[in-house]
Amino acid sequence: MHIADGILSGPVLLGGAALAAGGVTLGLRKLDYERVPQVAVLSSVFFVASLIHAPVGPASMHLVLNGLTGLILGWAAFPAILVALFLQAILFGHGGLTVLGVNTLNMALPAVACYYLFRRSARRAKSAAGAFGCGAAAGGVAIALGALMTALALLASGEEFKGPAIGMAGAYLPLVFIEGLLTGSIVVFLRRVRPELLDTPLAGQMIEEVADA
Amino acid sequence: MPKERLGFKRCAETALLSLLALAALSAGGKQALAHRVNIYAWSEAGSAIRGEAYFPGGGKAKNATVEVFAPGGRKLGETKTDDAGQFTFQARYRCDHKFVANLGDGHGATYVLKADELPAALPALSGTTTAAEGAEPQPKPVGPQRAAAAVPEAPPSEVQRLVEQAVSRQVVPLRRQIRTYEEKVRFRDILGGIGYIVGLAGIVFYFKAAAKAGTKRKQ
Repeated sequence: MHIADGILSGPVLLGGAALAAGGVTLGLRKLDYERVPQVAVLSSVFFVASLIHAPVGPASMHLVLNGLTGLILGWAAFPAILVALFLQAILFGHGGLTVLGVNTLNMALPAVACYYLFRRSARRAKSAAGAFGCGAAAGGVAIALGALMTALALLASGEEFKGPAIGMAGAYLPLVFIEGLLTGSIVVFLRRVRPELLDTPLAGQMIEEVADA
Repeated sequence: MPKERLGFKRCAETALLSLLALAALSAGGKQALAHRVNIYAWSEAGSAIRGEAYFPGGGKAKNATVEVFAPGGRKLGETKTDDAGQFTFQARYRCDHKFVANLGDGHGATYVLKADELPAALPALSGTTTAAEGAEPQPKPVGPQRAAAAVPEAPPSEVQRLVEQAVSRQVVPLRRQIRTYEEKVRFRDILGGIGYIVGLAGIVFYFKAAAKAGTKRKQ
């Protein structure tokens, strides 16, 4: 899901950077200072996740964990993922710096989508199984959307990417399941140990969400 | 369920414990390697260049297109990796060769093979200043029984070719070892990254708290 430098075309890089900048600004504005430790932890988890390889068939895929990040942080996933991607590019050579905006957008936008789709049901889950289901859905959907956006970014850069881009997107299917399982388990664990992580919304969220808590 | 304030202390406790756990987990992973493609090349006997495109975590880049550029962006040619991730390219000029691998799925890498790794017998690239400077020393006679090759521009003697082959056989695996060593993700990199994040969080904390104190004072 990390695209390297020198592959995408200029317009795609600029467009992605602009959209990512917008997302990051929104995320920072919505951030209550009490939530900053959480953002730091999830950013670190995301940062380290790409080092953890899950064997998938002949090759191995690395974890992304953008679903978990989005589920807990919401819009703050944008700055969290931006920082983590920046550090991955600088320290591990994984990804790239010119392509930072596009990569951030590809991974953080699905994260935010999962926040809006699954957060409420994860919070209101009446049983561990329910919480697991919501977490798994968030984890899986985030990967699927991320792979889709990565493929779109490649396709927008040139017609010659068509075959490999589609192949790449398909290769992420096993990871959808792996991350689904992992995110589901983590959500169940958090629900038991630190339920307030899922309870309290970020400052500035919809009033309706708070009222029906 | 009443809306509870998170409790700053509990939040920070959780954060600290999680970071410690994370650091501990990362330390255990000896095989930590970044997921990216790498490419490198070396010059073989004659004017052939061989190379390999691979993933540091294991796995080769199969059937990947590798484009070759001269300094200044002029395209010298193209080649493809085989099932073992290896490729060959015939050098026609003695200039820096830039190998660019593009796997099409977002992975890509470049490697520049320096001009002085190529045999001096090759002509310089027209219109560039990277021509072989001056004369390469004459091929030295090796072994008392062999006569040296006549002139520098002549194709290398059999002995020279054998020597180059033998040296290459020793050096190429060594380079591979060095490269693997360089690619390993160090624990200190992980720790540094996490430390950077914690520091950044502290700065954000300061500004957010200052803003909050500012609004409180105004009330």
